[in-house]
Amino acid sequence: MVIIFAAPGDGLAADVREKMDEKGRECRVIPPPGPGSSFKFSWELPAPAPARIEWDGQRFPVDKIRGVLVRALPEPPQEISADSDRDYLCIEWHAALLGWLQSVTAAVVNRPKPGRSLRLPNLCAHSEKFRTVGLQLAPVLVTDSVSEARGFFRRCGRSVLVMPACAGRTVRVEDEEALLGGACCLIAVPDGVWRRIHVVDGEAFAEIIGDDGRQLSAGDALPESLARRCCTLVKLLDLDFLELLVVSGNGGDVVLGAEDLPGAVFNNAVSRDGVAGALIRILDAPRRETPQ
Amino acid sequence: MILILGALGDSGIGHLVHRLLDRKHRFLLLDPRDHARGFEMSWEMERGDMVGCLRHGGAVTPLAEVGAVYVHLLPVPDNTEEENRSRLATTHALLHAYLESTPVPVCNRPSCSATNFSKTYQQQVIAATGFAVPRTLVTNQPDAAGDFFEQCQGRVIYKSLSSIRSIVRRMTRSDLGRLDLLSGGPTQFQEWVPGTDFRVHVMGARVYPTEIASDATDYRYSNREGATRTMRGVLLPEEVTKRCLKLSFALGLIAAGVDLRRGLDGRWYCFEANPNPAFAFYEQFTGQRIADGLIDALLDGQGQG
Repeated sequence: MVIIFAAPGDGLAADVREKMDEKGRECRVIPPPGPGSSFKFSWELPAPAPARIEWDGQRFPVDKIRGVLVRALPEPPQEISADSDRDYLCIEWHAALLGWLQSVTAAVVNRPKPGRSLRLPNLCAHSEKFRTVGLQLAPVLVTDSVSEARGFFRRCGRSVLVMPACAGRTVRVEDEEALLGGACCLIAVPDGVWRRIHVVDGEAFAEIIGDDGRQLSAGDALPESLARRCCTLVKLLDLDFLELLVVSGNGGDVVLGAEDLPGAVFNNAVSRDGVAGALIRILDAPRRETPQ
Repeated sequence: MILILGALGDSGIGHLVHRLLDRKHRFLLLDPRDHARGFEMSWEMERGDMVGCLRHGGAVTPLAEVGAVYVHLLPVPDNTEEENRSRLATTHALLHAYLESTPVPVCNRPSCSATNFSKTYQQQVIAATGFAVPRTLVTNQPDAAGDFFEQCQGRVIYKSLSSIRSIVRRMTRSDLGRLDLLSGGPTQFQEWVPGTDFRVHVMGARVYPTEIASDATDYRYSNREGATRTMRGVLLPEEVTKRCLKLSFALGLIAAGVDLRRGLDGRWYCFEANPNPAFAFYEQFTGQRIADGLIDALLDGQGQG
């Protein structure tokens, strides 16, 4: 059996489940537990017996689970109010599942770890690993100063991505006057071909995307060397599944972003099928005796 | 120079500042609550090199002068106005990114401190270092909690799974009547292990063990229970010292407060490694030079995994 923790409407979860059904393999999609959910959970450690998990009136045979795909976990708020029972319960569910997922012998895709964040600017902590495989991280500025932001913009050329320090969407800015302040992370945007690359189970799937980072265009044959470097990077980061945003130009292959919980939005069926199929190879592999 | 991010009113930081002044070591203390008012931070990362500066009180300090960082961010108080809450959230996000990315030793990096957010995750790291861990049940099922209570002959404590509201309480038979409340979310139950408590402060490669004698369930809050507490600095068996160091290193911590209990069965149990240990509290009772150990660890970059 394969379990997927995913929010309703998660396309990748649906794809994996459909493919598992086609193979005649059991797969259940469970929404991440939180306050008010019907999720029932009992887990003892050191483990004398498998955990007891029930959801929506169904009991899951935990000792038969071969794989777990985590598409969503209970998400604690960025600033916690100790007075809010709802926040507290969300944090407690998050903590409980992180602990349990660490202990299960089943394959867990990108086995979650407390504090792991691969989004820029935190990704800078791994810049050595990028260098090792011959990829560059885009130059990044973290600032709350308008003058610093504008200076960076002028040094970078004609555009930057601006990521707010806290919540908010990343936007592309092509006019320095549009940089109005506020704490943010600026990412230099080089000229070149934009690719969204999904790496899973040692295989890379790419799509060329519009240089606004959103508008999708035709599919892509990924250069062999770039595919190999992306796959090696994912191994170095100790992950199974990663989405990279890479711009290839005269300055080489520059990474503008990474996501270890990929949104997994695809515009071509080859990538979509390929990613789901590669995930199933991990999830449906024979059980291990000890956690990975 | 050591960069200290925290409030001078925090007893640990106050004590650290005192020791740095005594040792005439250069430091810069910035209170995160003053960010965007009293100081600003900008940094740039290109090809793995970090360049940036701190602007504070009319002065500019290049980040290149920062040789190590000590951080203790206080949680945002509940009565904080929305505007300030949002500003502090932004500050924490900016500092978090810096603390994760700077190549200098950081006590402690947020990603390393984060194992304390899931105590059962950390417990598995603890068990891997050779310490005994108490039998633990995580559940939101009243019947499972009731069965566990009986199996442990009523010797059970309960506490949060994360670092929030983390106070240890003894479970009593009268609690069985309110187990239905569990259905709202999971709770951690642990078999109560009788024995003697030890708090071991690991500062880089050095350990500072304190033995605590108390009849409180959680000695840190003994006065709330009207219980007694005495503390003294002691030496640990070499093997236990090695395990503490191994644990701190495995978690990537420069400073850790390791909570141990020597059980009546002679085994050494470990409950958790606190990444923000209140070392000044223990130092005042034992006279151990824990803050000096911390300064040495920061200067040597010891312990960062």
